[in-house]
Amino acid sequence: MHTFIKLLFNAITLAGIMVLSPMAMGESDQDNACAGSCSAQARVAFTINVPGFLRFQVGSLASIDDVTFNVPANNVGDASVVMANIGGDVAAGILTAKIAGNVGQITITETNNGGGEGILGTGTMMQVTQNAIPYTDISCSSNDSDLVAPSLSDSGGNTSTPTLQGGSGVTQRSAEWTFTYLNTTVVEADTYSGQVTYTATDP
Amino acid sequence: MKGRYQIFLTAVLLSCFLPAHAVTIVVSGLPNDQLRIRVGSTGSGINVVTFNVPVGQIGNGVPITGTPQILVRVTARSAVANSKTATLTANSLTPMMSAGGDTIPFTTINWTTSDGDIPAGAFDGSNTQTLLTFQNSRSIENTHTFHYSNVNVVPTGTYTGRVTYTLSMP
Repeated sequence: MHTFIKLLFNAITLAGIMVLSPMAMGESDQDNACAGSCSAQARVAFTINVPGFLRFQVGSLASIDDVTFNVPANNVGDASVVMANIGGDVAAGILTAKIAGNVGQITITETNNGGGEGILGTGTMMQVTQNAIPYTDISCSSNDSDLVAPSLSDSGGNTSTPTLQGGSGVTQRSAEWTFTYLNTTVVEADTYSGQVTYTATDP
Repeated sequence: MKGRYQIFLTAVLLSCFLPAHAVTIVVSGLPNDQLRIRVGSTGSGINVVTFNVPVGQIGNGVPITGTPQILVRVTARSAVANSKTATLTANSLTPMMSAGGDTIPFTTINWTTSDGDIPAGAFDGSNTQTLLTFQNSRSIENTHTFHYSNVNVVPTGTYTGRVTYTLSMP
């Protein structure tokens, strides 16, 4: 008997623009009667308009990654960690995470489509209640402590905050997020599927 | 009376046909040395070179060209030609700053020139960067096109700053 769990991940990219504009005249100077050392000065001003932006990527750029865990029959619910079999732009269960922005502290929030019930099964065994696996049974580790994923939950809303660059309002982080199934509960034989959305927001 | 006018008129006309004599012209009151510098278009005030970074290109290393182009004209004159060396320097020590206090150094700004009389280069962020030396008495001008290197992601904002060009001669 095998238990299949599928997770789908979204990346959301947000951006904003702020623009100003310039003026134009020149400056000149002359030193007309310098018997000894003499000098003349003129200035030019520079303006750089940098708009605000926020970029966020989890997994593949053009599609939603489908991370699949196949639980061996002999290990169902025995708390042995199950690695993903497929899904992920880096390797099975491993997704690229990139985030960049320049408007201050970014917050990443997790939500899902499970209606608060968890990772839903198909319900083919005529259960009284919807069979589901809690999202807390999915772990996500990062190889960079400056960009960690929020812990998954059935209700959603957990957050994480990528580390800002050098105390400025700039964030530019990249990591690999590895998803595993903790397999702590014996669940009904079924295929459980859910979709997690990570949303990045700035002040 | 009429006869006297006729004599005078005849004398004036005859003087027109006399041979020319050598003439020495003396003009006094010229200044000893003279320096002139212009940065930007004709008129008073300071030209502003503006770089607008597209939202999708912030910090991606693709240079942003500023507008407008800037005319830089320097003139150094002294009484004896080639007797003195004029030096054009730039002071870019103070970085560009936003209202939030974030800064972009002038080392991110470089320029190309219309013909290289004043060589292309990049600001070095110092107050004594030599851009050009030349012997008097000459006038040199170039049109400079400025570029922002755009290699770093910086906080959003409008960054402003000034560079002072100084033409000097000992």
